[in-house]
Amino acid sequence: MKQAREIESVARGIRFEPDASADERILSAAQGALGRRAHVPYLIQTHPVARWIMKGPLMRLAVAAAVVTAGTRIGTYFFGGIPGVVWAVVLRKINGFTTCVFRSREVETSGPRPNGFEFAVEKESKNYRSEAYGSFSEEYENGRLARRMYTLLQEKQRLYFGIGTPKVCFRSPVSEKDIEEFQKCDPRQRVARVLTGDYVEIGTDVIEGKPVRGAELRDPSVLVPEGTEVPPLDDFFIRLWIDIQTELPVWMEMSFVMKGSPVRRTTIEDQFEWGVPLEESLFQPEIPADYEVYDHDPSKKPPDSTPKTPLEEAFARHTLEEPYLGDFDHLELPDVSGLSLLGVDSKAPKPQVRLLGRTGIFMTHDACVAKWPRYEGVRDRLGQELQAKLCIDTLDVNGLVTTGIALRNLFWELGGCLSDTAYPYIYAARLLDEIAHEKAPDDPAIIDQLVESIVAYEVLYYWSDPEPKKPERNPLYTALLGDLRNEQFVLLKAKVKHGYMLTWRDIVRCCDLLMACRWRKDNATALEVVRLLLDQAPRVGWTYELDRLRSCEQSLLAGESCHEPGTFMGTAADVHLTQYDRRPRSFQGPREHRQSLLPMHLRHLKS
Amino acid sequence: MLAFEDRLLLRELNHGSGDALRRIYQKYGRELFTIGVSLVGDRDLAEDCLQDVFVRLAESAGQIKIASNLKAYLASCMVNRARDKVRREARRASRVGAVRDCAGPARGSAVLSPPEQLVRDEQAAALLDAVGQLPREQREVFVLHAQAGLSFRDIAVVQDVSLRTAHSRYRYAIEKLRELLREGT
Repeated sequence: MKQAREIESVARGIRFEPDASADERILSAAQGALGRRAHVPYLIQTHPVARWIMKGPLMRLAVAAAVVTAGTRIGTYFFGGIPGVVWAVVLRKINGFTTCVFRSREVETSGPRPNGFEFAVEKESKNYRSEAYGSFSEEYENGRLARRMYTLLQEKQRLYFGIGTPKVCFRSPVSEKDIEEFQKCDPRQRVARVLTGDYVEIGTDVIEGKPVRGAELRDPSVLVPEGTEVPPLDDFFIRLWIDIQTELPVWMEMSFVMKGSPVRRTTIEDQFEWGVPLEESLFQPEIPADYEVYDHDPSKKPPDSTPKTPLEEAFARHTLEEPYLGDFDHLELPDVSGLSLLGVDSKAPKPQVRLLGRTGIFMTHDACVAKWPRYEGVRDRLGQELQAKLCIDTLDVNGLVTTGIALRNLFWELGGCLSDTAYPYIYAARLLDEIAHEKAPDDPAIIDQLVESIVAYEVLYYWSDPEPKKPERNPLYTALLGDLRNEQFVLLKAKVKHGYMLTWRDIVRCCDLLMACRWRKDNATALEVVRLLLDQAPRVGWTYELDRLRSCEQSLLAGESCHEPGTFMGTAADVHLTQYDRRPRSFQGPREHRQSLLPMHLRHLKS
Repeated sequence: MLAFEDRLLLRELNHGSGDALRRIYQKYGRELFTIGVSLVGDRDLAEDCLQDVFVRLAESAGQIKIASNLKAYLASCMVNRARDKVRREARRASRVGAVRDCAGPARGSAVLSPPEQLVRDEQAAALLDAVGQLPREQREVFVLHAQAGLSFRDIAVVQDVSLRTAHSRYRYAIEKLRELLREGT
């Protein structure tokens, strides 16, 4: 270490971690101190009389009405003589305005996770609302204008277009029901919901130099219409802060964690301007001349997937009983936790890294994978090491595949494609699957495993330079992966000739092949696959995508490309799951991702 | 300007949220602990410092006003606690007659245990040894800038010196470290 840069580099790598017990002890002592401090009356409690009166919703409304009538002096009496805000006056005041401008910020964060990553999304928008014209919003990403959105009440239209590429604008009609929904999203409605709910006062503060008084509501049922099921949320709150002098809302924030998710979502609305004049021209969108306009009808919902015949019911049941990639689930996995490969120290402490936004996650992912040595370059050495450490020549096909699955799991545990040190395990999984495939080339389940090991780190397109260039397609998908799925299709055709009935796993493989055909511009094979599915799918009860298959056949006959039917859909959109995007639909990934997937024909099971 | 998320966390903490306190700890606790160990050279003492920092943070909830940078603020608290601890330890050692280098904290594998988890390579161990031999001001600047990634502007505030002085101290620290590490090899 002779150079300053070397010294700094070593210093940056030094990390110390307190023991888990120390973490608990420190946090417990700090929480204790916080608890003791909480007895200091920084919260202004509502007067007991007012609390008693405000218990029932009817009584609350009656009192609110009375307060409105009687004015601020009586209100002050009800709230124990505290000067300042009378909440009912706030409601009356904001209901007197027909326009409102405000800033909205949304933050989603997974918090620091065990693999060293924290995933986050931050969005900001400026919103203009008018009772007469509708709304106009400008959304910003990393400080740059990203898109404009309009809801136009007079034209009964919604418009949405991004700034930059792709140059497209989406337009959809607005129904009466949409207008009702639109009104519910009005900040005035949210203020009313808080103030007619079981709120508590949370004292005073200063926002942007102005003294404010707050109210907090912890009941998530305010989010949904009466009689509707309340979403499963943890630690939900809405806080409303009112400028003491103007008696107008200046800050409204809502925060919650979806049950079972590591992601906290927080929305803040502030910089309110109530009753400012908004010109009609603000609500007259200017779509750039070179933009393509797509008409979209959101009232067209996807078809109902609930099975209607015994055959469809049986197919749905088999899909759940024999999931895709589940062929080896009944076998025990070997313990590979202590295995070290290619001289990489996978247990080296990891610095905490915060990844912001989809593009940020993609770029970090691609930059990380680009640093790994190529699989072809280390394959032979890896084979020798696996032989020396696991005696792989003594393993049968099941042994090879289960070891591959265990190594793939370890790869994900160590951070997957965002880790500098996890790659030997996914390369080893791929190698073992390749050997198993050589030993049993006619087993489609082994090809599934091999495909999974490859797509675990080979993404559909790279995002090395998001602007102005387009993402680059991964040629592997037209070559190796297309060939592997084609092998399975050849095997399937032969079996179908002998009376074999298609399963969900076969359909997933066929749809992957259709994607590869689209990329290869191989319409002949695609047509063969579509026709086999059209012929066989109704016989086994997979009818959900028949219409799409028919239109696909027509497109292919006309010499056009077609988009394959969907196989899996995500049930959650947590920001940390973005790292598993850009894969074929068949990709299952680690457990957290696999659990978030649902076969499209079972979408009726979506909670 | 204070980062958006930190601003939210502080607002929550100021309203007595235990969850916000836990999230601040999760976000910055490890970095602060690294600063602590590097400054005092002892895991137990560093844990004590970290506890003090978070207990004081909790006690101040409701009155915390940070305009610029939460991490720098917490690092500054950690540095102050570390200074106090080293001073106290030195006094205690002199009372019991122990021979100890008061210019810097004690170093060595026994102190920085467990070595297999924490100090993985010899270079890092050698560097930590050398850092322990730096004068306190230089050691702080080096740890805060090179290890914790704080800007010189933030460090100048922590040490209550000019930006230029913070820069100079860092330069001297690097020169001294190069010398010590050369001697070591």
